[in-house]
Amino acid sequence: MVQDDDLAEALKAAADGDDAGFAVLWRSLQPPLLRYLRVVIGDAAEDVASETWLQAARDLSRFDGGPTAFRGWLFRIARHRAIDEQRRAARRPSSPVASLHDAERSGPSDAAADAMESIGTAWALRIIATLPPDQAEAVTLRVVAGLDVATTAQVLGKRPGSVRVATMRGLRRLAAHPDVAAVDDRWRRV
Amino acid sequence: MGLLRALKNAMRIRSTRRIGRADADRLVSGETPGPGHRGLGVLLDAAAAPPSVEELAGERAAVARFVAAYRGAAPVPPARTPVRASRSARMAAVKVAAGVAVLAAGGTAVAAETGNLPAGARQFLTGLGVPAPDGGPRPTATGAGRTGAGTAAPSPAISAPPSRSAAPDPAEVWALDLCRSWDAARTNPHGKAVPAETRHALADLAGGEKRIDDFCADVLDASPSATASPSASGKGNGKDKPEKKAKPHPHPTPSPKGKGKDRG
Repeated sequence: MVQDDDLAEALKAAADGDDAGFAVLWRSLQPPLLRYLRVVIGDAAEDVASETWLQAARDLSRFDGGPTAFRGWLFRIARHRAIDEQRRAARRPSSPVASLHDAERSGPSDAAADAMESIGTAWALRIIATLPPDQAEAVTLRVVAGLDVATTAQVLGKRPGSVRVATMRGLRRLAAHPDVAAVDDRWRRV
Repeated sequence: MGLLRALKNAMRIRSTRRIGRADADRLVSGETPGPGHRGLGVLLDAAAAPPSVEELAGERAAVARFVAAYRGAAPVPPARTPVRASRSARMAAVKVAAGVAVLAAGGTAVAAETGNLPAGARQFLTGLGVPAPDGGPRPTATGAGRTGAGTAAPSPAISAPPSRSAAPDPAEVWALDLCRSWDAARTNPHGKAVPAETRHALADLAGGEKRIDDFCADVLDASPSATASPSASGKGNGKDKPEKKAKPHPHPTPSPKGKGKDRG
């Protein structure tokens, strides 16, 4: 993660319309943003991330907080956009969110790529996405986005106490997931 | 016998798998987990691994959209009432956006020296001022958190050194760039999908996602080098393309309130 001092500088510059400052923000926060959205909304993640940045760009001049507040602000926009997208998808009776993207990617599966993916970010996010939504969000925001408890609570509109509990329960559940337990077993045999 | 083993197993699982709040905090902060939670540690590390190239694709388009959105230079057209702009107007918009991307890439020198930008775009660019060249190294340091989560990768788009040689009009190159990747993805159904940022940038310029095909056909047609490009095969054929979904942009905006609460 870009250090807060640098991010603060970039944030200030971007709020004044500086494109290089915005680029620093984007590079630093697009990956965790995408991963969070991947967990929350799956294949629509890229689109929703793009909408999120566009809205952030429009409202940035009115933003006057620091880096921590900015992360929370950005992820809250993303969360709202994801909820909008879920509603839109629910109103499209014949085309659930995933269908269009599945069709786009229905190429022949690449065995090498599959093997690479066996333990990697996509694998991890897929498992996290199997958690109950509140736990999945708490774990992703805390672990992947690196948000602190207070900021996570703001993003989710919850009390800090419930964020900590949801994170703990999520981690317990992840530890018991068969794929994760399999990794444990491999360690034990070594 | 079997029962005893099952009982032992259950006890071992209990003793190693139970994660308390303090454990959770340690795990979240990236601490190496104890022997019972290696798998969980692997999972969390993988989830927070440094960004991949794919995740950072689309930076140029994102920055161009930021500039357009911020300055209102090329306002994103409401998807419901797309106005068909003339080709020249749209190309001007491309050049403005591309000029901005060039600014990001290394200063106005490139754009200005090509001399191919329309007067309006040149004025616009002059109005932006020349961003100071990098005073120092880019912030690439990794901060707190686990194993380099969110490490800023060096970006080819932004960190490219300023070039003073008069290249072909970067605006055209940029528009062609976008349209070629659009065209390539469209003509190859098994290929990778166009990054969302590219698609949205094109939609901004074309006046809606449904118009991208026509727009790119124009751009590819107009390009003198188009014939040299194998990927420009579909040029000039703007009809019966598979339409991408058109997405309405306007949303209710969550207010940027609570932003001052920067308590860590």
